Amino acid sequence: MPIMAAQDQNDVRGSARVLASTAKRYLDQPPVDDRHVPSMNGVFRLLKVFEASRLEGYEYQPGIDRGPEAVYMLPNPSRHVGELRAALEQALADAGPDRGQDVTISVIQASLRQSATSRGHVDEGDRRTTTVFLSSLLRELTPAG
Amino acid sequence: MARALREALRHDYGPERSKEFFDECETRIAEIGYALEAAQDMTSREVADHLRALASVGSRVALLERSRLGEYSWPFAEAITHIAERLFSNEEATGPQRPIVHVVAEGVGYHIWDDDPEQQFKRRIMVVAFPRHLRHHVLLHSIFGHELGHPALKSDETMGIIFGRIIPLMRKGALQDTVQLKRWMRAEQAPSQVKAAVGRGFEPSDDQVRDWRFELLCDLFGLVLFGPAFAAAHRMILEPLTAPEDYAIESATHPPYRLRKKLLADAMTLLHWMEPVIAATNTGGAEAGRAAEAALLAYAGGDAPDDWHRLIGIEDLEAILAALTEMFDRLPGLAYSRPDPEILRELLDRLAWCRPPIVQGLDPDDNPVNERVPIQHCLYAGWAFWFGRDALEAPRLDARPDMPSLNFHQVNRLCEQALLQQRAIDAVLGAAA
Repeated sequence: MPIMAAQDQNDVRGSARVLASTAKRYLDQPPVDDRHVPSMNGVFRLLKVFEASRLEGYEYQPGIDRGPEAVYMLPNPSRHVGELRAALEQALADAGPDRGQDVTISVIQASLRQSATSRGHVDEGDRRTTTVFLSSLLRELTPAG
Repeated sequence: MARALREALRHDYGPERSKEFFDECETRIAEIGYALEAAQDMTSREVADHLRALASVGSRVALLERSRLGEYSWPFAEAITHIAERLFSNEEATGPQRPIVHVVAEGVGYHIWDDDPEQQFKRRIMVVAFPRHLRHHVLLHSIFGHELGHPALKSDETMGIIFGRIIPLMRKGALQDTVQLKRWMRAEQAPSQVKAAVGRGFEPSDDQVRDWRFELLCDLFGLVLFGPAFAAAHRMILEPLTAPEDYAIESATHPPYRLRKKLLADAMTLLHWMEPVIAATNTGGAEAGRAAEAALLAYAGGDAPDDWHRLIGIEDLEAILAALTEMFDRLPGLAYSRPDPEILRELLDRLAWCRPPIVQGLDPDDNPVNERVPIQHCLYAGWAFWFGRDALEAPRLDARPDMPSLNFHQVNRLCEQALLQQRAIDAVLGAAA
């Protein structure tokens, strides 16, 4: 096992936390350029895959015997995709307590699309829903203590 | 990291696509920089999160340096890129976007690395790794059909049908859950090695059942995409790695080889691919061509193990194949369709005369005659030639004894050259249309 694997490099919760916090910041304070597009897009894609598969396909990472030249690409087996799925479920419930999950996802995706294509201008109601979603997602992904 | 990225530009890469790969890596590095600028009083966990994000970009930058031309079959890489761009374009927040397909040569096996959906990117990067030591073996490269199945689990064009229709059909029988899988392992017809593993206390896990479903799905995906050439490559690559008595159920993320062989054999029968396309006549060398096809199909879809090895029932498999076919029907011309018998005969004839399998020539009025030959048909011809080479080469060996029989590597090289020439033919036909 490579030494970096001890740092849980492949833990999806870490990159999801970065994604959620960056997207939330850009939603709160839209930038003057298009630097916010990757984070808006990241949340957009994450919701797309979640909606279609509940991350089931993402959870599976095909194993392959690799030679020493590929040691830096070795995936860590503990990816914690299940925790990410649970966090998304909870965050969607918090963002749309009176709506179905599909409707909440549509609202959030619409706001992300709007932000990515119109220099950050987003309908105020949709922005609020998305902010609640991202805040809840961050909270759910951050271990207590 | 930014310096490593700039230094990576010193190497020799393929035209066009290196720049977009470079730009995307630069975007990702910049994004991490913005995040660090904005972050104040970061916790140690946030520092670690950003470092992981940086390491993820670093692995992509390292792969940029492994993309030198000459270390992989770039005509085949072009074909994979074309397929991936059509299959895996996604709806992004900014609109439809095709992936950046980056090709590298690696030391060991066939693999595709795909971006994870929780990462930040403008465009998805897919890294396609060819084994360096098999760089010209395009017939074996058909196995990429399986690898392309994995990113299909995260792509708009494909994941709806996969998770909405196909996976539910695979959650049946032995693949329903761990209880059913264990019951199947204990069945009276099960091989003694499997029963022995259960006797030693082996317990399949939920992850294993899920992994087997996905791996079998990827086999079917590859078969529908590349046709019998995929099944032939599958057998030639995997069978020698597995002793007949080896079931290896305890450690596998992949089902034992013989289960996969049974699945492909069932699927080829259901798809009506076990009968040669060249008709049974005796004129003009048709007999040798038909026999070559029959030999290929017997290798690719024959010698199926007994029915205990059938993990997916015939009716469910038929429905799965229908769903996969429907999925590919949305992208006309992408998946395998059976070749025209006359064109196939011409391809085989050219191989018999040590020429790349393409269709090009002049009509009686000296007008050029060219045909679009899909990559799947080129590979099908190459495999059929290999299995029927004795009869197909006989006329040439009589006429030109100075030209010895082709070996497997040479057949591969001719097919690789055909893929290159086909690009020129397609460009000419496209310009004329």
